[in-house]
Amino acid sequence: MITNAGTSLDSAVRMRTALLFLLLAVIFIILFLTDLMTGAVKIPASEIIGLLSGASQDKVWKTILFDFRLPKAITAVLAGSALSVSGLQMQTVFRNPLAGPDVLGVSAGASLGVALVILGFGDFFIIHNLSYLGNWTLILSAWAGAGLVLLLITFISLRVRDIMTILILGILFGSATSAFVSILQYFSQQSVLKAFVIWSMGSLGNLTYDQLRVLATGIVVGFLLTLLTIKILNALLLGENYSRSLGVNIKQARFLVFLSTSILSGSITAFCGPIAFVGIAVPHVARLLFRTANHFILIPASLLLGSVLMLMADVISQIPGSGLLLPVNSVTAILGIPVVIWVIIYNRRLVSIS
Amino acid sequence: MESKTFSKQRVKLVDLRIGYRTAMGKERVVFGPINVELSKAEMVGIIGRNGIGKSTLLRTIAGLQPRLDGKILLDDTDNTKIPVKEMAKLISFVSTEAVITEHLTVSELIAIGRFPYTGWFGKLSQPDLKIVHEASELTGVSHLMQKPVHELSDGERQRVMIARALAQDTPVIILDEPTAFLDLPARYEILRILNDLSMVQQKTILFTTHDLAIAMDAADKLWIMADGNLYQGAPEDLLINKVFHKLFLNSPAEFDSKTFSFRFRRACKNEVTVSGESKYRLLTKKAMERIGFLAIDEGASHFKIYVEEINDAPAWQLHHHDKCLHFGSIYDLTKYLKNFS
Repeated sequence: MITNAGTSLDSAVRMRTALLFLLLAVIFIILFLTDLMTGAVKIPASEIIGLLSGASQDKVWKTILFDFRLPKAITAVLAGSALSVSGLQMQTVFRNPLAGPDVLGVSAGASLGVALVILGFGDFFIIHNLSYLGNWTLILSAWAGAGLVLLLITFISLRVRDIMTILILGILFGSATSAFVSILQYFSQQSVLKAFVIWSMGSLGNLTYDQLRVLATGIVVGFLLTLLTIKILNALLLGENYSRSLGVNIKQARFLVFLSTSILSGSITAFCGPIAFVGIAVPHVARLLFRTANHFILIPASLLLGSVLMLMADVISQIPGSGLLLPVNSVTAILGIPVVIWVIIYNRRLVSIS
Repeated sequence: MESKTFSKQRVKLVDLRIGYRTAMGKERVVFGPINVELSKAEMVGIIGRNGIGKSTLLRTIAGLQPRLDGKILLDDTDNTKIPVKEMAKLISFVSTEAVITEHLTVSELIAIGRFPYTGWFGKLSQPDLKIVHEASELTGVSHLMQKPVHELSDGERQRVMIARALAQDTPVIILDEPTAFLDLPARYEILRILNDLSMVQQKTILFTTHDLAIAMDAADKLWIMADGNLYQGAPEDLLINKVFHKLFLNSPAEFDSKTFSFRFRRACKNEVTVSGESKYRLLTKKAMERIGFLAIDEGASHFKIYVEEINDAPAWQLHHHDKCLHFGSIYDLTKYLKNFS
């Protein structure tokens, strides 16, 4: 929607944008390969390329790469891009720089679903802990929890006029859900409690190709819905009054954005656990790098940057060479929080619009 | 312009009542019933005190909030029968909300005005770009196109917001306090742009303002909202009918129909006779009124001022009882007289 009149300055800006995308794509490829290389067993880059192209047939490495590392790297890319894009949507819709995919309480809803299953039916779950069925139970319960919140939010967004009310209701709902999860935790046995805590730390691994296919379908649907919201998001930059006078149906627009963001962040939370700060931080980095508010640039930029950040977090979480594995949620927090602090301190103007 | 079905650009309000409906279904009427009309290429200013419902009226006409009852006719079509997307091609709105999105450039902001005309992905066509360019030329912001919006001055930002409304290419433009927060030259700049738009571009313009002098200069018609009624007419008609005075019931100001402006309502205790050099006399009288003296031209007051001119400079003689004092400036004169007021 936003295109500049043809000035020389304009072509310089376009050149810069194109170069940035190219640079990010290169970093993305390098990090993707690095992520495939790192782990308890180091696989050299040449071997990775050989295995991917089918030139090399080393059995052990092939198993490690295709059964573990590749699905994990793909999950990282899906998670990073989905969370970042939904964070961007939320920040524009709520006109709040600190909004993220979890403000609507979708992650909290997913947590409640998982808590109910793990903590409520823990004995049953422990038996199937490592089985295929157990994993699906976890995912389906998280999805059900997220879906429930989505329904609630949709209902609210069709009734409540004021966007700030929706934001506050979302936060309140998240707190209520967390409180309920705490109660469940309090009455749980230690063994099941640990299973829940591990889930809540987030994990990119453990996904089978079957699950990955389901996750990828969800993310693709979410992204397709996002495409429909880009033009509206640009209008929403001017606030809801201006948008309405431009012919935007606000309720419809909110519904579309909430739906896509819930599908995106709900799916990721279901499969990977709650992953914090990526959704809040990445859109700010995208705005800073590309120096634009135009969502036609910010959406692909957040998508790429989110993937890059998540791959980076995954590489760091393995502490290369040590054989140790950190919870990915901690790593994203350590990477994301400085960005959020920077936003609060240096972008007071942005904070003041909220 | 764009819409052939809306060629006469007439907006007619019939028994319109504006206000809010609470969640419980109760009505809170802000103003009404209103029966007025806007014709093509007319520039109409709305004047009224804070909280009387000027903004509510604008928002209701713009379709941003539902009316309580009555009708808003665009030509002869009820506005509730016009889809939101069509309304966006008929009426554009400039609000008092400040757009301070970081990293948004002026050209991008103006281009958002093309929203109702672009497709799903909002790609701008050549004609769209041309309209954006024209809008920037008409409002004098074409040199600011690459600047981020949050770096603009208040006056520049207001012009950019008007350019955005122009890019929306609607026959009617509604503006909520377009001159608020602006310094005097910037206010006149905005009014000149709006005047040009109605005269040259044949736009119908409806705006609110607190600046009566400016509104009287520029508007074809004023809508005065006071004591529960909406009075309409050319500024001069309203002067003749003494409508402006209704704005100032129970307020410490009053309308001065000689200067088209407001001034403090003062209880004048003392009288002062001002005579002498006529070119300074008016200013002297104004100063007397400021400090609470009723200035008259002739009569037997306790205070008599005679203004004279010595070597091209004014001088003031004050006769009070038997004393005769000389002053070199109005400031010294008023400072002395204040002891008696």
